[in-house]
Amino acid sequence: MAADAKRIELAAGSKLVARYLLLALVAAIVLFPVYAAVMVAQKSLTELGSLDVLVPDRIDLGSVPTALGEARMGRYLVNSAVVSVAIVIGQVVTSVLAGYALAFLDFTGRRALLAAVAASLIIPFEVTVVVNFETVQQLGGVDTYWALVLPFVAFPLGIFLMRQAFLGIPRDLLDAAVVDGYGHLGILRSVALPLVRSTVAALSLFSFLLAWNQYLWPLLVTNRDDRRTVQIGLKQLTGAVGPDLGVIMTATLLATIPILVLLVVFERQLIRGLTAGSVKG
Amino acid sequence: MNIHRSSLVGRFLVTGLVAMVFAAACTGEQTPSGVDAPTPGAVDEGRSASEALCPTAALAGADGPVEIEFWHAMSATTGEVLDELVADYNDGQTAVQVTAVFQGGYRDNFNKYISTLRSGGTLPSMIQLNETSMQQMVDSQSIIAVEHCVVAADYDLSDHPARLLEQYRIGGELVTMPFQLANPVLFYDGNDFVAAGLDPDDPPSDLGVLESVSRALVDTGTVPTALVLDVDAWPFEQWVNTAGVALVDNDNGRTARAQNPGLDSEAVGDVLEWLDGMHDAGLLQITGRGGDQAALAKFVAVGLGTATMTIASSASLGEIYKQLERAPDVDLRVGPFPGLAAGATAVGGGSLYLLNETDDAERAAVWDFMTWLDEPVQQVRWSMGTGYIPTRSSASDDAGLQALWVERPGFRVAFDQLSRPGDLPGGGGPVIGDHLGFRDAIEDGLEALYAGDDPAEVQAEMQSNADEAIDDYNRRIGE
Repeated sequence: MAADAKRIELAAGSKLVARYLLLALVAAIVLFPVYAAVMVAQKSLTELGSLDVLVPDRIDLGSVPTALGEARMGRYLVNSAVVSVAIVIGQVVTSVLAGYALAFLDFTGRRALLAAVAASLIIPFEVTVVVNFETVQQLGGVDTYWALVLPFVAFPLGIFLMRQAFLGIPRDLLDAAVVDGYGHLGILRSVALPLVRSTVAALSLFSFLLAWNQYLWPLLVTNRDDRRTVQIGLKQLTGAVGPDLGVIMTATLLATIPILVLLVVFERQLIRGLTAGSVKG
Repeated sequence: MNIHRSSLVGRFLVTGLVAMVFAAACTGEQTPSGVDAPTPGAVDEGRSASEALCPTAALAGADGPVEIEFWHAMSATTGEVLDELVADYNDGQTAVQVTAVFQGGYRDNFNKYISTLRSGGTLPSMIQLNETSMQQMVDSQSIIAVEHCVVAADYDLSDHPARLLEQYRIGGELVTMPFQLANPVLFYDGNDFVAAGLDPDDPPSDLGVLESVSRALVDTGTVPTALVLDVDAWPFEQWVNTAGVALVDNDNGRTARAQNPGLDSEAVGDVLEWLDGMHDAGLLQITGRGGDQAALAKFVAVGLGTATMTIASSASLGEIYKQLERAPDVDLRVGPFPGLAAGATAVGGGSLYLLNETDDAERAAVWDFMTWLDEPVQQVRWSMGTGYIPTRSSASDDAGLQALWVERPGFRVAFDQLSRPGDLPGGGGPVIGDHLGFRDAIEDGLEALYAGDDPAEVQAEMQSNADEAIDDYNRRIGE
């Protein structure tokens, strides 16, 4: 009996070791490009021809001022941050309100509206880009911040995500709130929102990521350099070859930092948020 | 990631929008090429019509500096050199003020232009695009052929190599102003040649010699693979050009709109067979298909010594020298493009378009700026900073350029290549509405070839895919 238990324990232990080894391997594969980018960012072009480039022999931040100044990444980063934060706020507000309405309010056409939201999930951005561009042009939006933000303020996936999250709240809680005399806004603020915090966090992170990585739309609606965003800046740095891989890598890393920070900070909420609603049928 | 995504979007925009623009703008009679042209008649009539379209003297009567916007696709070092040129032009005179705006790569620039045109937005006065956009720009009916300015200003083109002018002419009319010319050339490591007992001063002149040189390099154990290429349709087209064979019908689409691809030719079959043989024998390594990254990977392979030779645009020269000359083990050399035959290559690269939603003063301003860029001094500076071929023959007299050519003979190779004998069908490389679709068909085929498909099957597939791309475009345009 005891020997059996020990064998099972051992088997479980080696299983655990194997699992962690596998995870470590996957992590190494995933992290390698980031590591390589950090190393290349610090090396000169002459060192690029050999594998020595991957040896961490020094810390050289010489290309950071070049990337921020000469390559104007500083300005682009600020623009991207402003635009991305505005898009996140817009999307969270519209998604929470619409999601709540679609989950709990009883009104005519609710099912049709929900179907419309779901249907718009499958319309790719590329299909609407021309019409949106036309509209923004006619509204005089070229080179304005609002043109970079407005088309993305409503986000069907966000609405859907929030609706699912709200549906996961026990009905009894809501009934109790109604008995306590709360209206819909009160329920939303005091009962529903605190319960779906993790979904809101996940949505924020996700929409930030999408906004931050935008290339085509900002390129279309901006001509002035001081309105352009980080991905256009990166494209401007890279030619067929060069100019300086160190600067390009530094700029790329600078563009990645905000997302990495957000990922680390919101990791738990992100995982919880993405799995939330998946259990509910 | 974003770059790739945008090129997918590009295909959608390219195929759809030009057709819409065309349909919206379709008025009046057109020349076969679709460019606004004076009605044939007396020379004087033609001249006054040209003057009306491109009043090159209008700058004198303008009130204050004329502001023009110039959309371009130059990034990295070339972008910096261009910005410097624009700044110098602005500082050097008071009549015109140019604002240069980077709009992504050529594809992005074109997509944005067509989208803005379609949606009635604010257009630039001048735009830089490469040779793949020429037919679509004509079809968009939003340009004024620079031929009109040449006629109106009596502009002397005798200093421009004939081959480059022919490249940008359709139906005898200069559609766009040449600005930055490039040609494919062979980059190779001279040290490997010496190690393999080959003469580094005698680069392979055609595909046959390239193969035997490759064998010598690999058989002597000098390098694991001799040649490194990416999946790119441009050199492929150039191999066919060197055989003097058309890539599309109607003289490469220059006497009338291209209707059928010519990828079923013997020349195309020969190139495919050659590539297949090289690849199967382990003499050729492929870095993949993916624009900038795959192109860079070729030079990394040469730099690391896993291959000796690669074929790339002469426009990379400036950067390549910077990167590889300091690598002590590499003796970087440049040789002429090894052709399928000894014939001519077509000029590639960006050119400048005068757009028609401009007033007289703006047109005159654009012309002034274009011709300033076309002056030998500026062309020399541009060439020395980037590796592009100067548009002017007399640029070769420049002391600075001559010194550079002595120091780095590679810079001269592409310039000399322009005078290679041989006739291209219709005078230049192919003019195709959906040229990028045509190139996609070639690149899809090359990928299949390197994955092991039979060359004959690949060729048939290429031809039918290219045919589909051309038909699709022509149908949308109503031709």
